[in-house]
Amino acid sequence: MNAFNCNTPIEFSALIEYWLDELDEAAEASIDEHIFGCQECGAKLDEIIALAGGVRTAFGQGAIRAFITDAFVKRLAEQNVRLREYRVPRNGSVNCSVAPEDEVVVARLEAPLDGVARLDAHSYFGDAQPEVFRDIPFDPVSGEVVLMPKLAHLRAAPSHLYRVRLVAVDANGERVVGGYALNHTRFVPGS
Amino acid sequence: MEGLSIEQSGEEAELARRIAQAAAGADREAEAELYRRFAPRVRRYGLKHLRDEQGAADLMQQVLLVTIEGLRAGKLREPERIGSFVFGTCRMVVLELRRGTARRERLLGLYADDVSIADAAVAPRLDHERVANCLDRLTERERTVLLMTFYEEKPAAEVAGLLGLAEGNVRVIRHRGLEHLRDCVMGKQAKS
Repeated sequence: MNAFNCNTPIEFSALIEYWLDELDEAAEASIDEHIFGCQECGAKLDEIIALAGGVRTAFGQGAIRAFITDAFVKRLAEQNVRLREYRVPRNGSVNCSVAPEDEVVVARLEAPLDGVARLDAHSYFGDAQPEVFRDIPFDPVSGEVVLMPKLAHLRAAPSHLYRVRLVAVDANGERVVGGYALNHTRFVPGS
Repeated sequence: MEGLSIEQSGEEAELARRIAQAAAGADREAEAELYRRFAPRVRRYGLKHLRDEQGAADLMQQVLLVTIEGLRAGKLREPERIGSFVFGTCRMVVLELRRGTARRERLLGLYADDVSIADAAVAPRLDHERVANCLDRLTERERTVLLMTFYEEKPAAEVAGLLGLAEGNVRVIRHRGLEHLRDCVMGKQAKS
């Protein structure tokens, strides 16, 4: 579009802050002007905008698995997102399913997290090789880990047993915090 | 628009001069090319300041109608500063759109049928399946921070509150996560 080369490209981190309205008025105005005239930086901002939209689309399609927090779940509930929640006691199990109207499913895994600095989740799905999700995010004062599985996968999956083991990791090694079993029953219309 | 200094190419100034010097509406080719060059920039400005796809599309159309009509009518004293004019018009129109005036309808009614609206290249379109696969490859913290950030376009301070992390920590994770996601989705070499 423009014939000149950008001599003062804006840092990627600054563009993220610009897009998220984190800059003061003067800094934002300066980037407004720069981007308007600079194809290179404008294209980088377009990438951020597109990726942000991509994350929202993936979430809307139930294509994201993530460990979230109670505060985020409450945020979703405030926006009338159709939530299905299961609370799983430490070393316990729960029967679960997903209905067509559900938009988000979460499993609240109760766990004593005082003093835990790093937590891994070992995931066991049927006969498949276990997966280890390292350094998962959690709110240490909440007493729970909130797992949001991929809704799209859950809908397509047959009835199965899914197990999770939470493991605290520190300089002394690993310590199992709790084990959880989720007995998933596939939704059958009319059942 | 005084004091604004927008970088632009000489080609854009030349297009502006051609439109200004032709009889009103006579140089449709120059008008379409000027529209094509500025439309993505105006749309980007609209997305940032209006936070709405439709609003950004409206802004794009309105600002460029005003610009082309201004050139046709000889109202731009310095066509070589066309970039600054378009940018200044963006700022004014965004303020007006926020005030909810009826200016858009008035302008569209006056000029819409009389200005060539060219197709404008917009932001990159992503393969959603690829985005989902690339999200899987992020670290757990990166994925969670990006989800909480972009679900509602929340700043680091708010995400930090949702996660129980320090704001600075969220910024670092967010930056790394978005770089990793970009490199994966756009097919660039993954960084360690």
